[in-house]
Amino acid sequence: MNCDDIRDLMPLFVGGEAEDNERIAVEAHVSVCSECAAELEEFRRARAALVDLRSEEPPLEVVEGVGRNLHPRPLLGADWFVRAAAVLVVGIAIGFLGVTLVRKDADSGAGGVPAVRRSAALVSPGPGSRSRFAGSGQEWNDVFEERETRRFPVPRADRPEGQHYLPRAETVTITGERDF
Amino acid sequence: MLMTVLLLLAVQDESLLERLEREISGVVRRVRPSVVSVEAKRSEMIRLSGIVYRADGCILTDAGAIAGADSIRVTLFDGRSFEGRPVGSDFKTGIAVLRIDAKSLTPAEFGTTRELRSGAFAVSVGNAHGLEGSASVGTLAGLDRSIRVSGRRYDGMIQLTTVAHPGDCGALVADSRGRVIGLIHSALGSEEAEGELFRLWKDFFGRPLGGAITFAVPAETVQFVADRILKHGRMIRGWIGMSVRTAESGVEILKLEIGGPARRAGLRRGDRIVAWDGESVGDAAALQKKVEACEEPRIVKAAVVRDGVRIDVDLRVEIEPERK
Repeated sequence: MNCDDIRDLMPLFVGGEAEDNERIAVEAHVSVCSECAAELEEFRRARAALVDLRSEEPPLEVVEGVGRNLHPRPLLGADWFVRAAAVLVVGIAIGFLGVTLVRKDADSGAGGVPAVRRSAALVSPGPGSRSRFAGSGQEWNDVFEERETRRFPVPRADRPEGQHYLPRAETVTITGERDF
Repeated sequence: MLMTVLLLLAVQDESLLERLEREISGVVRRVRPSVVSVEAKRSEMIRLSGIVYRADGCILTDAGAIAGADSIRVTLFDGRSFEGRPVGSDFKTGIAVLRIDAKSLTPAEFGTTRELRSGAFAVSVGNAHGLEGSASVGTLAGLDRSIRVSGRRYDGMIQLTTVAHPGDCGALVADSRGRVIGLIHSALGSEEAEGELFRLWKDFFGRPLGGAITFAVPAETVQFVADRILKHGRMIRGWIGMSVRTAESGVEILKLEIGGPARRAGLRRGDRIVAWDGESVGDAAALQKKVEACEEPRIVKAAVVRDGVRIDVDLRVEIEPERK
């Protein structure tokens, strides 16, 4: 195993969840790789600090150590949750509006091409639908046809397995020849 | 008088198309009880169609499909199913005769193609893709066609525009009166002839496209073969071992089979047969019919023209050896 593989196993190793062979591999690697050994030590200290973390702010070196192993990006503030919640609420509202419009147009039999397009992001055709979100009215109408079909399934003939026989005439020769 | 007028008025209410529809439906309804489905268990299950030939359980179907089958199952139109026992097969025409332990079946009424012309109505009823009783309407497109299937040549076939699908082999073709005029044999099409579109169809659906040029064994041949097989337990037909074609006057010999009666009698390639058994020869098909009509070996006097000279020959017509 290389250093990347060992790094992936460190959280499991430190948390006591690694398999026996993984634990042995990590121990063997850090005994010969000083960099991985140092990184493993940081993991251990970070975990220990998290366990003890309550209302206190974590030590700066722990935060920095954890941050180095993540994608570099600015730390999110407390208003992150507010922003995420706002986006979620707006998304739910749009979805509710779109579903309502789609149902209304389908029930009124208005053809529904523009209404279907408005709700394009929300209608998810079932398996087997021919729709490809290409914006073609006919394709979108096919979505409803497929759904109607699923609601009232068309009985299919029972076709058991096996080869249905019909020889193919390979060539046609009109020579008037007869054998007897 | 009043009744006649009322009847005429009633008839006027029905359009030509409605009447045509009624007639065609009537033909399908009439022949449907005589169409069966056949399943032959070989390395895989082969499914095709068959015709009830006699009420005592005699079924006709395709010889190639059931050849070498471990078991055969025949299902009637009413759903009853029986084991099919082969009686005999004729690979020259592709007709096979089966026997099932069923009585009081509805045999198909056979007609003839002799009086038919191209353009005559044809209704086929078979088991396309296992869909029992599938009907197709078309016309007779041609008579006396020669085709080649899997390297074997079949002569005297009738050509139809009714669409045949896999599973329709062995299905019956009826005329406008519901009389059988043929037994479906094959459909035109090959990997080379069908083109890219048909190959794509086959790749996508896993089966070849149904053919719109269908070939059937004519009713006279079907009856001739079936009767001989039922009488003798195998196909018995006269044979002299030669290939001929119709000439300006008489029938010209094209090939002679080695060891065959015609070669042994001294006939040669290029000879023209002008008389057979005291009668003048019409065409190749007529001479073939005369020869194959023999049920036992016999000596026949023939007149042959070779290099402008008429020669009388005694020919021994033998029974065709069994071939696969």
